[in-house]
Amino acid sequence: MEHTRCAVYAIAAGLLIAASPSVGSAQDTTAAPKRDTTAVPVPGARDTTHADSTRGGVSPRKHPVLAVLEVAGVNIFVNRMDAWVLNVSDALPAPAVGRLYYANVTVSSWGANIRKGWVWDTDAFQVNMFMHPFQGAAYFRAGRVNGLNFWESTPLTFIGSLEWEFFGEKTYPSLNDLYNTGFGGIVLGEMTWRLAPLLRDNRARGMGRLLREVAAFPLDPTGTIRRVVTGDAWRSYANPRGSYPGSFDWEFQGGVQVGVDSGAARRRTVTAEGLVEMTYGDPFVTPYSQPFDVFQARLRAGTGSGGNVKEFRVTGRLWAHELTDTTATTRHIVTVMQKLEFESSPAFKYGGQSLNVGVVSEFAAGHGLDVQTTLYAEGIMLGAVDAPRSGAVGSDRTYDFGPGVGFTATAALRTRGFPLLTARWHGAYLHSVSGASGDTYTQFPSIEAAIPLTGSLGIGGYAGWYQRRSSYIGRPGETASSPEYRAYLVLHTHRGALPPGSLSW
Amino acid sequence: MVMSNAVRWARSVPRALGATALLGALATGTAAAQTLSRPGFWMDAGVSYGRLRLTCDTGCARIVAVNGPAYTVTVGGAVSQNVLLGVEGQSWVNTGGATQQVRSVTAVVQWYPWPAAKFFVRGGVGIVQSTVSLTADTTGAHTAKGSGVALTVSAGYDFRVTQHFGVAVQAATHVAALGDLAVGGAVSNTKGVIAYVSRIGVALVYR
Repeated sequence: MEHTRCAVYAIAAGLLIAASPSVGSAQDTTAAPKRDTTAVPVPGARDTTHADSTRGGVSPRKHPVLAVLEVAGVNIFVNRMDAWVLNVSDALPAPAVGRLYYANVTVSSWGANIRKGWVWDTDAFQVNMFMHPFQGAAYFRAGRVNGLNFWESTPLTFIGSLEWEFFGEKTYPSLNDLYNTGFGGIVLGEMTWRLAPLLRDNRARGMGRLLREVAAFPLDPTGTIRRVVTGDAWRSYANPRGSYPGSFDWEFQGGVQVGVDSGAARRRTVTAEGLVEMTYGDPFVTPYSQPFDVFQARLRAGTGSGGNVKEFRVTGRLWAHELTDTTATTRHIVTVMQKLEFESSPAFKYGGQSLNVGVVSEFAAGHGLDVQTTLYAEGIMLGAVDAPRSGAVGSDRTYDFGPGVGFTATAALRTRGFPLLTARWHGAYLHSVSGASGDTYTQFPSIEAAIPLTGSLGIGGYAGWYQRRSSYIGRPGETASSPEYRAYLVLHTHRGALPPGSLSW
Repeated sequence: MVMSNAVRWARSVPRALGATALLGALATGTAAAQTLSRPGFWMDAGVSYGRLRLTCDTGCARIVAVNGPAYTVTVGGAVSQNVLLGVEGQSWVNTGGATQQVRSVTAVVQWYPWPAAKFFVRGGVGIVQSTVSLTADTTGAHTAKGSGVALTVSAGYDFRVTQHFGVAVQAATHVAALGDLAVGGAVSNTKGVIAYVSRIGVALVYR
């Protein structure tokens, strides 16, 4: 669980560093009243390059050196907290006995890590595929708060991860950590960077203002502490331009799931499940201007084995080009997406970092009905999948790592933004480079249906079917399939264009 | 005595590197204060000399590091004055005895710390295909094949020759995680292989 702590410390480190007034000048706090008294949110506004960094239309100075130093500061803070305050350790893998105080790094351990080079670690699936991106997000935001744009901030997640792997731990540097921290950190870093200004309202007062500032803290700890230090957290002034993406949707689901686990006995499990899905922007409302001007995050948690987080998927738009007229009833947009994916159920585990290229289409049917479809080809930079004979013997590793390719196809029938019927099919092929010598094919078709009872509340059901086929060199292959079903209450909220002059929504 | 291809390469590549570096140095004298402009499209093509080293979980204790030339071609587009995206193809080869090679295709980001900088770092990930010699393999075979994930990290410096053309000196490390290698369709005893190609060279660049 040391990586969980790492993520928490990374946030705390950001706080300490942000307390220095010399660090960073971006974020929406730069939109001081004297500079921009007329700033109002512009629904679907195309951010300029500067607005991308400032969230306030004020050209910031870029501080790449400070950003790099801040990344190092995060690592130093996390490492010293682990070593001096918490004295954390991991049990040594069998057959060794004892504990490894991994944070007690020395010059000797640095040398050993450099001489050894890269390995694949043996941490649990949840640690490697879910937690590491959060630490990477802290590195990424170090670039954003120091005035760097999206692309300029991307190297920082890898620089931070390289530092940590070679100099922050006594354990050998692991390639899977570099991939998941680096790519996952970009996804989560940009997502949280964009969400924080939406939570804040510079014109609000009293308890409402306090709650908004507190809510933004986990998303942007560095910016929050700077706002406190400078007094922007309680000063009334204009909200930044261009923060609102033009469309914003929430969906909440709560209910029960019935599944079949992956064991030989194929036991049926019944668990309580909750899901939150957030859609920032709309590809047909928000014109492409910058990476992640449209993204979607989906988190499903529940009871039962395999950890409480069952599904976490974030897809962010990196680039888009519309093929049709924006006023047409049928529209097609070529899109490049970055995706972080994590799925863990009693029946299967799958996760990965990928780039997706495809077409997003919308077919307006009249009377508020429309159909949205997506078709993506997927390049999986590094994926992980559990399978028999996978992982490393005697460790928490029960899954293989490898690159691969895949596809995703979805179709959704909606009425005034409320999804009535959604079908999804995800297929992937992974070539194992760590674990069993073999290849794994997975496919996961699913369908969700909901009936609106009121404008935003409804009841819904879900059916999914996971299938895996593994082939090994010189050994028999293996197939498995597991169904899962859910019934739930669903609450869907859709926010389109904002009334002028307010971010309170 | 007839020289082998490997020996010819071993001699000719350093000369080529030296000559190109000299060209770059001369060019620097006339355009030292300028930086390459960075239009939308960019590309570079380079030659370098590198060393292959293998590490693994089991079965490669006696495998020796070998040297050889490497060739790279990168094309892409600039997303800002100091960030370039591209795709890099790299091929390293050694023909002394059994032919060994490491070929990769990676998506790369090249980052100049600030727009006027000539120093850059480049990083990328992709896929790799490799054939290496297993001198200690118990199967008796000499070469094995594998494919996997590739990671590249490099640092370099641009020397401008004209407004758009120049020469870059670059040091790079390629990490190729190949997993378990296969010999003749069967898994060899060499497992968990990670190959490193460390190289230094020059490239002609268009930005």
